[in-house]
Amino acid sequence: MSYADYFAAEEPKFHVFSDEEIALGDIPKDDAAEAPKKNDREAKKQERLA
Amino acid sequence: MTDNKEAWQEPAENPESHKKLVAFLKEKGVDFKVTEHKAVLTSEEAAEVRGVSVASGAKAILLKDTGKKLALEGVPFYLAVQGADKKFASKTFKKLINSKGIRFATPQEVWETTGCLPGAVAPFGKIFGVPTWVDRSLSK
Repeated sequence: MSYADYFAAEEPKFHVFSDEEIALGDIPKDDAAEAPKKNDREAKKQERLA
Repeated sequence: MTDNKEAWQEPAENPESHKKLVAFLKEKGVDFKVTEHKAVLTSEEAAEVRGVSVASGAKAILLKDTGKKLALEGVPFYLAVQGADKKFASKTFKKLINSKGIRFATPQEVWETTGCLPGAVAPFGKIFGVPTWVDRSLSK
């Protein structure tokens, strides 16, 4: 049975939760969503200071 | 489900769980082959008896939501499936399912939830009525 067959039969939810994948930079969605917010705040701060 | 862990003794095996899995695969039209081997507990042992590399396989981990209030009402267990050679990131998974706490299911819980012995849990939460999450690396 191939992984493709498995995914088709089980229809699981996909995410990233193995240490190695996280270390590779494929970070969880929540963390990825938070990252731009921090950058946005920093960018706005820089704009105000400029 | 009982909490009498000391009294619980691991059964020999449960052919019903195997029958359920085979029926499920047939229903889904999946092409599969049944092979028999000695009982194994770890991914390394499983790879050895199958004659494949550890990295080529996947492992299914049954987890218990230990929060006072379950993240999902009526859902105490989750099945996490990831590469057999990878380490499970419990904090990330806890956050993923929005739970206050998770732990590995005990052998008794594994048996009572899946009908499988530890080391023999199939990665098909559907047949156990348990939500299945797969690490994205398996889809690459």
